[in-house]
Amino acid sequence: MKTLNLKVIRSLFAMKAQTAGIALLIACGSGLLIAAWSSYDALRSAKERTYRNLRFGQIFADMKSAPLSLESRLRSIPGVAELDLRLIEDGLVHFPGAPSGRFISLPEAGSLGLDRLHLSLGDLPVSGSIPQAVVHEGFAMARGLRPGDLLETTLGGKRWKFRISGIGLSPDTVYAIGPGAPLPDDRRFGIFWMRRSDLEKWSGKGHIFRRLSLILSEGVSPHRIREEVDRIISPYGTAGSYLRKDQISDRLIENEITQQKTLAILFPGIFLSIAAFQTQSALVRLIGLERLQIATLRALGYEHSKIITHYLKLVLLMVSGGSVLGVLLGAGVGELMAGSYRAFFRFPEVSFTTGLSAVALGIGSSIFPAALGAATALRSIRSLTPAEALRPASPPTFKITRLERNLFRERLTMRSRMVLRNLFARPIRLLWNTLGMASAWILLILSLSWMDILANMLDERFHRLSRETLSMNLNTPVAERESRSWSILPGVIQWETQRTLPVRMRFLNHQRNLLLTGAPVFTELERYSLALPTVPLEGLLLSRYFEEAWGIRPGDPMEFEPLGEGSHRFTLPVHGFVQDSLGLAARVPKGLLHEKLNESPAFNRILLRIDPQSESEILSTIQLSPSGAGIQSKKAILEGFQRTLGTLIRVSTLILVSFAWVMTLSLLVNSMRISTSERQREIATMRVLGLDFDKAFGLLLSETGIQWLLAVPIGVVSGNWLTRAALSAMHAEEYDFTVVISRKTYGLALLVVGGSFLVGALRMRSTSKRIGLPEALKSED
Amino acid sequence: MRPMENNKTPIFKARNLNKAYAWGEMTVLALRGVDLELYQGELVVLLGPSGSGKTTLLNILGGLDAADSGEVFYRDHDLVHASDSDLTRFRREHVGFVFQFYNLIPSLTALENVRLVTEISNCPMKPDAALRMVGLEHLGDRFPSQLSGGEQQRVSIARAISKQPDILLCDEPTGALDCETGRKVLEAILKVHEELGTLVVVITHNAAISGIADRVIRIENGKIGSIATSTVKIPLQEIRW
Repeated sequence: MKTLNLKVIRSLFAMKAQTAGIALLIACGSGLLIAAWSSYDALRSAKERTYRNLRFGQIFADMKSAPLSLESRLRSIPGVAELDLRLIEDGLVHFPGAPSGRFISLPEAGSLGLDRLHLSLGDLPVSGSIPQAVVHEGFAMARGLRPGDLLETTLGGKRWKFRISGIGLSPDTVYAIGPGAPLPDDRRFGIFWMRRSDLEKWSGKGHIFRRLSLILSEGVSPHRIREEVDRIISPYGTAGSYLRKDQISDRLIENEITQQKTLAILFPGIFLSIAAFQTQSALVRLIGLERLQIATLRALGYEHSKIITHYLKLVLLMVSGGSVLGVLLGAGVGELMAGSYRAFFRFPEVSFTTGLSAVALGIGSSIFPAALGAATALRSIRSLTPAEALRPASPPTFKITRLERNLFRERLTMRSRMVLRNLFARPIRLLWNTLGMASAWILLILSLSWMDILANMLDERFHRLSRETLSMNLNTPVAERESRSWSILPGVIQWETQRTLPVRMRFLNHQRNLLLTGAPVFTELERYSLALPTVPLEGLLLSRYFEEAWGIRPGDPMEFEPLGEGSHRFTLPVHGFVQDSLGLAARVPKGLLHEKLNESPAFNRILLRIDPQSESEILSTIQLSPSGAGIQSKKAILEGFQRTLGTLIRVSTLILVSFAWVMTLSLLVNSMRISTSERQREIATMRVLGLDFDKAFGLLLSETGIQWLLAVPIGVVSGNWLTRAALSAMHAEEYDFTVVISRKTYGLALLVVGGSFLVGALRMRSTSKRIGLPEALKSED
Repeated sequence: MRPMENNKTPIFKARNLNKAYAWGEMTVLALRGVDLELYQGELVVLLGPSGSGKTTLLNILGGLDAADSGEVFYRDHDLVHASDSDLTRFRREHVGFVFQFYNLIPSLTALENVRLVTEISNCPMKPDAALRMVGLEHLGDRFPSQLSGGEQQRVSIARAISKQPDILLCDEPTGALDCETGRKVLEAILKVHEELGTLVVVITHNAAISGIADRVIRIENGKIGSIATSTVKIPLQEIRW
C-alpha cells in the first residue's frame, strides 16, 4: 500500500470522533432519502400492479339509475374494449356506531368484469337462503369479521340479514372513504360485494345500473369516448363520465404518492444539504489543522493534485461509511413507513424492497455534495506555497471598530473584547458556524411542526368549527317540519338542518364536482369561520382554493349544474372565500338554494348536538330509521383519524425527529470539538498568564454560546419559513392547513439543541482540561 | 553544587527532580535527578542543546507541568504536590513567562494584552508603564499582527512583568529573532531585571547570550552539567550571534 494511503487510514482512525460525526450526519440524510424513496416506490408499484392485475377501469360514470339495456349501445362505441355496469346501494350496517355500508353488485357468473375483486380469505358469494357478500378487508379487520359471520343492514327502508362469504378488496376501493366523510375510517365505512340478484331484491330495483366502468382499446383518445358515453347516459341523472385520475380512491392515492414523492425529495434534500454543509465546514477546519502536514508533503515534492486526491480519499471514506449506514437505516425505516401505509391503503400486497435505484440514489446524493464540499475546502490548498504553509497561519485582521471605540470599549473586560473580536474578525466563519447551528433548529422545527399543524387542523375543524356531535345524511330531502321528529329525540341539545346538493360547478373553463351545502344564515353547529360572533352566511362562500386556483373574485358568477336530481342549472354570484382545511366546499344560504331549486323548505342532512351520554342510544334509534343513509359521529371520525392517518403522521414525525436529533447532536458536538482544537493554544496562554481553567475555557464557551444564541432567531425564522414552503410544496387541493408552531415545539427544539450544546460543551471542557499546558503551548496556531 | 551568592537565601529549591514523557511507545527521560537553587534578584541562563531538558525544567519551575518525583519549593510553596488551582494561583501571583513564539492574544492590542494580566494581578504596575519599560508605549493600540517579531516579544515581556512578578521565566526569547532585534529584547529583560530586581531565568541554546548572566547553568541529557558564576558581565552591545 502506498504510504499516502496508509496515512488516509491512520488519519481516519486518529479522527475517529469527527469521522463518526460526519458519517452519522450523512447516514441520517441518505437513510431518510432511501426510506422515503423506497416507500414512494413501493406505493407506486403496488398501485400499478394492482390496477393492472385487477383490471381497474379507465373511465367511470355514476348515475342515479340507468337501464341495463344501454349496455349494447355503450359496448358498441368504437374504442371501448371492456365495459362493466354495477348496481350500488348505500345503507347502514347494524354495528355499534351505525357504520355506513356500500353494497356493490358483482358481475354475472362467468364474467370477471372490471375493478375485479381480490379475495384474501373465503369465497365469492353463492346463492342460498341468506344472501352472501364479500366484505372489504379494511372493514373486516376493523370490525373483526370472518367468513361465515352473519350481519344485518338497513337498506331501502328495510332490514336485511346477510352472511360474509369472503374478505377482499378491489382497485377502486384501495383508499376507502365513506360518502361525505372527511377522512377515511375503516370502522365507520364498509364495502360489500354481492350477487346482483340479491342486491336487486333488497333495493327493489331490477335491470338498472348506477356505475359504469370501462377500459379503452389501445391508442384511443378518452376524450371522444367520454363524449359518446355522456351522450348516452345524460338522461339518467349523472354528472357525466370522469377519468381514472378523478376517481376518489385513485385521486387520494395519487395525492398521497405525490406527497410521498415530495417528502422523498424535500426532507432528505434539506437533511442532506445540511449534512453536506456540515461536512464542508468540518473539512475546512480539519484541513486548517492539517496545514503543517500539507506543507510538509508539498515540501517533500508531492504535487497539489496528489494531496487533493489524498484528502478526497479521506472524505470519501468518511462519507461511504455514512452511506452504508444510511442504506441499512433507510431499509429499516422505509419498511416501517410502508407498513404504516398498509393501515389505510388496501393493496393486495405492498412489497417493500430497497431497490438498487434507491441505494444508488442514497449513496450518490451523499457522496456528491460531500465531495463538492470537500473540493471547496481543498481549494485553499492549491493557493498555498509550501513555505507559507510551514509558517503558522497568519492571524485574522483584528481592528477596533468605531462602534466599539465610541460606545462600549471601556466597559468591556479584556476577555469580553477577545470574545467579540474573535467572532467578528472572521465574519464568514461566524456566519458559517451560526448557520450550522441554525440548521439544527430548522431540522427540529420542520420535523416537529407537523404534529402542531395537524393538531391545529383537528381543533379548528372538529372543535371550533364543527360543533355537532352527529350528522346524518338522508337518502332524499324531506320537508323542513320533519326535523322536529329528530329534535325531540332524548338527549338532543341543538339541531340544524342542511340541504345538500351534488353539483358540477363551472367558471369560465374550470369545472369541478362537489357538494353544494345550503345552510342556515346563522349557523351554529357547522361554522365556516372562526370569527365570533358568527358571521351570517349572506351568499355563496367558496373554499379559498378556488380563489387561488381558478382566479375567482367576489361578484363573479358561478354556474351550478345539479347532478342526479334532474333540476335545471342556476347561477350564483360569489360572495367570498373561506379556508377549508379538509376538502373543498361551497356554501349558500339554505333559503337561497330552495329558491334556486324552486322547492319548498326541505333538508337532507341534519346536524345534532347531543348529550354525550345519549350518543349510543340515539345512534341505535337512527340505525333503525329507514330514511338514513350515512351517519357521521365526530367522536368516531376523530378516533378513526387517530388510528389511521394519525398513526402514520406520528410514525413519520418520530422518524424525522429522531434523525433531526441525531444530526443536531453530531453537528454541535463535532463543531465544538473542532473549535476546541483550534483554540487550544490561546486557552493555554491564558492559563499560563494565571487565569483559572474555567475562566480561560469560558472564553471558548462564550464564543460558541454567542454563535448558538445568534443561531436561535435565524433557525426559528428559517424553520418557520421552510415549514411553510414544505407545506405549500406538498399542497393538495383537499388540504389547506394553517402553519402553526406551538410553544411545545419550540420548547422541545430548545431542549434538544440546548441538550446537544451542553453535551458538546462538557466534552469540549474535558478535552481542553486533559491537554497539558506544555503540549498546548507547543501546538500550532 | 552550591551557588556563589552564599549571603542570599534560595527562593527556588529543587531536589532530585525526575520527569519522563511518553513519546509514542517510548519513554523519554527529560530530567534525571536535578538539584537546583535559585536566588532572589539573580539572572540565570540555562544553556543546553535541544532536547536536553531545559524547557521541561522551566515548565516545572513555572508551575506549567509537574515532576514525576523529587521536590520543588518556591519559598514555602510545594510545587510538586500542588493542585491545579494552587498552580494557577502561583503563576498568577509570582511568575511571568516569555515564550519563543510570543503567545500574544491576537485579538487584543498590545496594551490590552498587558491589561489582560493587570486585571487579575494583586499589585500590578500600570499597563502603559509596563509598555514604557520595554520602549513600546507608542504602539499600545496596535494588534500583534501589526507589530514586528521583536516588538511582539517586547509586548510579551511587558505583559509578563506588568504583574511585578517575583520570577521571570523566558524560554528562548530571542530564538525567533535576528541579532539586532534579539538584543533589543534582551535589553528589555535586563532593564526589568535591574529596575525591579526580579529573578530572571533565560533558556537558550545560544551560548553568546550567557555573557549577560550572573550564573550559567548547563543542562546536558536531563542533568545539570555545570554551574558557572560570572564575575564580569559582557555589555549587551558586544554580544553577537
